[in-house]
Amino acid sequence: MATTSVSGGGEVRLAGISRSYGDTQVVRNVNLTAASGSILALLGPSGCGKTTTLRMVAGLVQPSAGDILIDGVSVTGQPVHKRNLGMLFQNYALFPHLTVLENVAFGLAMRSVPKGDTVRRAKEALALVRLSGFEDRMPAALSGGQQQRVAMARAIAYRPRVLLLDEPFGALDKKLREEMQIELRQLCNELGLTTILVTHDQEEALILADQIAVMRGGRIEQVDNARAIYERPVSHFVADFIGTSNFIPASIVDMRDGSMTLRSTAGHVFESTVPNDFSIQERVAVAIRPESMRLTPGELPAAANMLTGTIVRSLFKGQVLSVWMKPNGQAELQPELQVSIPIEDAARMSPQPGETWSAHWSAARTLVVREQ
Amino acid sequence: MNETVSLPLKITVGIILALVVAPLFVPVLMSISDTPYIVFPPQGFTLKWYGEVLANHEARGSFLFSLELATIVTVVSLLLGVPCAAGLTRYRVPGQDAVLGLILSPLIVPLIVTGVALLQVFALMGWRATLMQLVIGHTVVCLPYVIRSVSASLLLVNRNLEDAAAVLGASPHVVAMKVIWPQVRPGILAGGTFCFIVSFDDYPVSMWLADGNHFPVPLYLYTVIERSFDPSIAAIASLMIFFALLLVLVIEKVFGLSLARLAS
Repeated sequence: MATTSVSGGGEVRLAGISRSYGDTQVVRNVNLTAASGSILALLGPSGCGKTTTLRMVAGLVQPSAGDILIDGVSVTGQPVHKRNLGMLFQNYALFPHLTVLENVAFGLAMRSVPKGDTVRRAKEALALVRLSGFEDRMPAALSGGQQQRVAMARAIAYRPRVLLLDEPFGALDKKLREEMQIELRQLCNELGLTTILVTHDQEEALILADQIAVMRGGRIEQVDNARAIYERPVSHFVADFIGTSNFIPASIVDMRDGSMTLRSTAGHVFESTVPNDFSIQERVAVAIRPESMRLTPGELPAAANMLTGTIVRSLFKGQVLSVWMKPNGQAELQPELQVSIPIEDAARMSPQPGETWSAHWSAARTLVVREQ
Repeated sequence: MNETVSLPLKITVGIILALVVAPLFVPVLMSISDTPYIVFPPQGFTLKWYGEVLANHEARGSFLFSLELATIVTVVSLLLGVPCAAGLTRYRVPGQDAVLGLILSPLIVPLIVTGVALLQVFALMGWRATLMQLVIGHTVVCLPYVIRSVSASLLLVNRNLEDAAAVLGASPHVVAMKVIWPQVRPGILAGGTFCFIVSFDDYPVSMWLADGNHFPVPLYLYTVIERSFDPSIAAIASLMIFFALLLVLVIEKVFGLSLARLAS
């Protein structure tokens, strides 16, 4: 299998690319780098410009401005078929009139690889996705997961420099999707492929990507590794899109080495030791993850990072018990404060609707995010 | 395709088939009647009427001319129709709907009106080229069939496949040949077949445009009916039916799967 091992992915750099359709700007001045051999996820809601960005890398859409470089060489003017990329489409886009083997061999045939080599390498690619023995089937006779694998084999058979994935698992059910995600991650790492993945599924991005670029309205909101994005989101949007957060608009009242004090309009005080770059005039909000909070029965004496309120409802969610609390005099908090209690704690502590409880959390778990 | 067909559906399909197909058996049965005039049900059995028709110089000439005409019309209709359908389905063209309406209008206007209108135009032009005029007349009538079936297959083409092929390294030319063509081929074939049969069977347009040297089979059949009333008329009609049937069977045999896929 020496021939299919590490192909050495190219470094992809997007330098200020934009794309407009008429008066609508779909992608605005995007700067991004996917390091050689890494997996970069473009994450965002539909219409955020992530697919257009991916299609610009593929060459299926021309940027209105900016440059795309692979290994430092501009490919912006290069037609699609000369870019030597691999791409996985949302609905696989297998050729229905060709067999599995012919599908996988398509890219090799386009590169005038000798016939014998083409067949051998196509079979190797099929073996990599564990589909040996399916060579002569027609795509229509395969299950969704198998079609996905054929598409994968077809995309890597000719050892492209870069692999582009456009919501590749959207059509699979949850269980199969998770399986394929792990398989894909292994395969990409094994082949050292630089991979750019487009998805609206935050979980998928967290599982697959080394770097996540959160997009919104055609712009990059934040780029970082999965953990940093989750633990230190820079904006309300990112904190809300990745995971769940409780938001309390607040203003910065004090900043001193590594610690920040904030006050909400209702007068509650918050302290944060999570590093951030905000200055005093900026419009910010305090964001707290439901799992960062602890609940204590009754009313506690007023303190920073503590809210007292009435339990509204609780909901069993499998691994956690979700509790919603209406804080006293905190009208700006919409809708309610959500707290997750790990299920092993829920046995000895189950807040009932109508009771008064206090939620508190540490300064290290108090996120400060930019308000839009 | 694997679903079981319900009984009411079977009955409906049966009735429709009977109504469409059964009348075709009448001339076939009449053509083997061993009587000097047309009777139904046939009496006796003979193939002599077929012999008579095939030996007839005029009948053979008409048949060959109809074949020639239908072939030219099919080629011309495909040459005009395929790019036209591609343009109408793949691009936003100003006045698209008007163009489509114009092309499909011969299906709405009675053919006999189309025929007489063409004759008047040609007469006003003082133009005398019967074959060309027949080709033009038939093409006007046949083009809607080509456009319709080619458009239908073009609309079914999965654009994603073209993107996929391009990313895999296929140049636009290769994409057209290896990806688009296999998908639209059944539509083009179906359109071409319809076109051929419509031209081969046309009476109302040919009636105005033909002359003694360019005399398609349907016109010949009509003159024979006026002259005599023996079973050779039924034999000519039967031969036309067999010919159309043969054409469909050959297409079905060669491209059977793809036609079935188009229909499904």
